[in-house]
Amino acid sequence: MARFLLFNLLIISNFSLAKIASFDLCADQWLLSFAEPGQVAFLTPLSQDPSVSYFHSKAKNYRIQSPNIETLLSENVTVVLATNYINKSVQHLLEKQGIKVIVIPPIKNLNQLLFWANRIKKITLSKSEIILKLQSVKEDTPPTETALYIGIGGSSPGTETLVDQAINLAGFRNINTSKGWRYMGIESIITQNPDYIFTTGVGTKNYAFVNHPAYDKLTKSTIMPIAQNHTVCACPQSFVDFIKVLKNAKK
Amino acid sequence: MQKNKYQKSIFILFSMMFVCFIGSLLIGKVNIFPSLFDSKSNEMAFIILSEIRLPRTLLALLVGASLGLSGAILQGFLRNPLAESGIVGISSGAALGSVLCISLGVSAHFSFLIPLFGMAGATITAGFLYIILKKYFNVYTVILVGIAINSLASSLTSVILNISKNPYSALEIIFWLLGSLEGRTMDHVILCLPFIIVGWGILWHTRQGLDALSLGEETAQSLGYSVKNTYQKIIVGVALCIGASVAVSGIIGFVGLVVPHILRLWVGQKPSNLLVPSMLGGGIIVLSSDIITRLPLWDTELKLGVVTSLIGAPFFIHLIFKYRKKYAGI
Repeated sequence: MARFLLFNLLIISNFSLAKIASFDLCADQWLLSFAEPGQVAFLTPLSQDPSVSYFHSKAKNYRIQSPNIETLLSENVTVVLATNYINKSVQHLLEKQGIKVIVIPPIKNLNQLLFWANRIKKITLSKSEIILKLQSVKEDTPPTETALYIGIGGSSPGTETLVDQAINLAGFRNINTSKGWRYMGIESIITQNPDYIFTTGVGTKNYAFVNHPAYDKLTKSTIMPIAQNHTVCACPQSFVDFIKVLKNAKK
Repeated sequence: MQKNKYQKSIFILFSMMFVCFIGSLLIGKVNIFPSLFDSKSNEMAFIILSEIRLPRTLLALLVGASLGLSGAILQGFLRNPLAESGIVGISSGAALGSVLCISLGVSAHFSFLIPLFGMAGATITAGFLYIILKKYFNVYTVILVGIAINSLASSLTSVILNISKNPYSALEIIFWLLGSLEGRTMDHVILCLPFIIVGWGILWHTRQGLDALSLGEETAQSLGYSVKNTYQKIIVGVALCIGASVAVSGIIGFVGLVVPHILRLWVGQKPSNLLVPSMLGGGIIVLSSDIITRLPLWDTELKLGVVTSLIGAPFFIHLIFKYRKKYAGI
């Protein structure tokens, strides 16, 4: 208990005055979920792009900068939040200058999402209630309908992906049972004939894919476009809302 | 004797192409062969065959034949063993047009704009070449201006990639540039077919001029063939068939370069004798590469341009070493 309190105290003392900068789009989403504009040194320009950023309109209240080493040093940033895309040499260079770099790994399930949500909440001293919403997400009755999500570049999520978990939590059975993201191809999808096909709708490939004449003739799938900014980055709010969108599609 | 050998080679190539054609219809991620004879599931098999596999098989044939024919014509006309449609910049021009369409975002809602933009890119490039070389024509200028236009179009494509704000649109551009026939429909075939057929027709008419040119420019002119006229026909023909091909498939490398070299060893050096075999050879290579892309050996579908280059490059090196004595200076 004492250790836990000490750990929390350390976190609070370290980060209460922290000037946090984001290094990439997904780090933007985490900061937009938990941090106030005053705590954030800057977000990246992609945070305002509605096609990829879930919180694009909220991002307009924050400062925007390109996240290069020179900017980070000149802005006296104390913490940099990044995801796996950060170059290791850049990370070392920043750490050498005394900047704390927090790297969020690829999130594959709800537990990992909860873990990181708690951690970022502590760092930002946020009062957000999104963690409660995350904890209340539960699986409905056993899935009766099948679904497939076609993401960017035509690939679909299988097991050990957050999108797969969202599909299951929304009450569907994902027809892609392979591990990780995998490209399925029109022929495989047609023969498996899912009840629902959720697609980002953005991007030529996906559009051409679901508009292929073979789909019309063979499948009875309901094709639902879903904004791709729900699934580009793992972040608590977009995950909760994504499940809601999937459930609504079912209705 | 020579005629017999030519006919025999055409027959063999045609048979190989036919086998690849059937293979392309039957091989894929899903085994449709048993379903074809099962009355319960043959509707699905038939639709997969007619709506998915037939269009891409036809496109592979058209694109491969166009690449092979253009390579043979350009190598004969420019008397340069490295000539292919890429060297005159038309492929890059078509690619630039299509990439521009993807980056502007309009293709997300009207996917048919990609081939249309591609054809527009090829036409503008060909028009540019035509205007420049109308005034300052000779074979070396054709190669040099072609290389310059090719570099310019490639650089502009890189600029679009470089300034692309959305990483996913950049990803889509890169994938498109790697070449693929996946997801193409009969509409794509109908869109590119007229341009390709007219292009083939124009290129076919240059065959006697090419034979005459192989004896030297002066001899060709004394026989009544104008080098400039032949060139103008070639540029229009290549622009039509390669522009339309790149517009529907993306960039597919090495076919136009390798196929004429392989077949020259078989059917001889006479340029006109090389045209039909190169069309058939191009069709065989693109068809077989497309079959490889969809073999159920890999999790993802390989890109066609990647496979043609993987097959073409080592084979080309093999040819160079095997026949280096025939090619003086290599």
